[in-house]
Amino acid sequence: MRLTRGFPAFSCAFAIAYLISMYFHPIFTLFTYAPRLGQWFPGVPEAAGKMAPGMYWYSWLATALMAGIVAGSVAALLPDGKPSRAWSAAVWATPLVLIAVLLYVERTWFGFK
Amino acid sequence: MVTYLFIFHGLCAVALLGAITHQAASVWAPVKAGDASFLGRFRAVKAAAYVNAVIALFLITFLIGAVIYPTYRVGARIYMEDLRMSKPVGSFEVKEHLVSFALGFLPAYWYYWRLPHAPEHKTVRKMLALILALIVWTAFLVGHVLNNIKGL
Repeated sequence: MRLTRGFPAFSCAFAIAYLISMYFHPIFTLFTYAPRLGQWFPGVPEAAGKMAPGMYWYSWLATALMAGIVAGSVAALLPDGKPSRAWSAAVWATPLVLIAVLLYVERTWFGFK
Repeated sequence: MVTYLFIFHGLCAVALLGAITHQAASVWAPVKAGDASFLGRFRAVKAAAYVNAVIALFLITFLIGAVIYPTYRVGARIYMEDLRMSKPVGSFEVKEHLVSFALGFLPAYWYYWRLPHAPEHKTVRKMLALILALIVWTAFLVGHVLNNIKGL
């Protein structure tokens, strides 16, 4: 088993899980950082309004990292073989699709309904 | 301390811009034989030689950004929100997510670039270099403009 064989799967899973965590916040938010207090809280605290602003970005990264490690480990455990062309295409197509979804999700900041 | 980190963050970002732009240019617009112009020399680099530098610079820039992010969140962002400057705030949101995607794709980037002469991976190498370059440029410009609006 070569660990590096799992890298492409890690990357795709990381980015997809990050977008899912962000979009479906707070379902996959593991912890919250309160920058004014300099403290970390598990999940999204009920008193989140009092400690505002809460930062969830670190949690989304942690969720993405866990998803990436799981997917990468599974891919590394699969039988040896060269990565297919389809897999190579998925590696560069995934970020393009995710970027398009991200821009759509964030469109309201820029005045689009 | 945050000011020093912020300046170092910016300097690392400039170095990263240079490295990833050299690489992307060299694979998307390879230099023609005998082209001794500035642009020709700019593209006449060994693209694979930039991989480790790009990864190291990205990680350093990203980590420093993660450290100084709370200062932005309670300072510059609230200042812009008070002024209802939704586009700059939204731009930073987009930047934050784009660099997170890029962070995740660094292992794949390394994986496909570690054998730079494997012809079956030529397209994925070119595309990952281009996507990383676009993300790094976007992040740099957004950060630069936001710092002009309200520095840390």
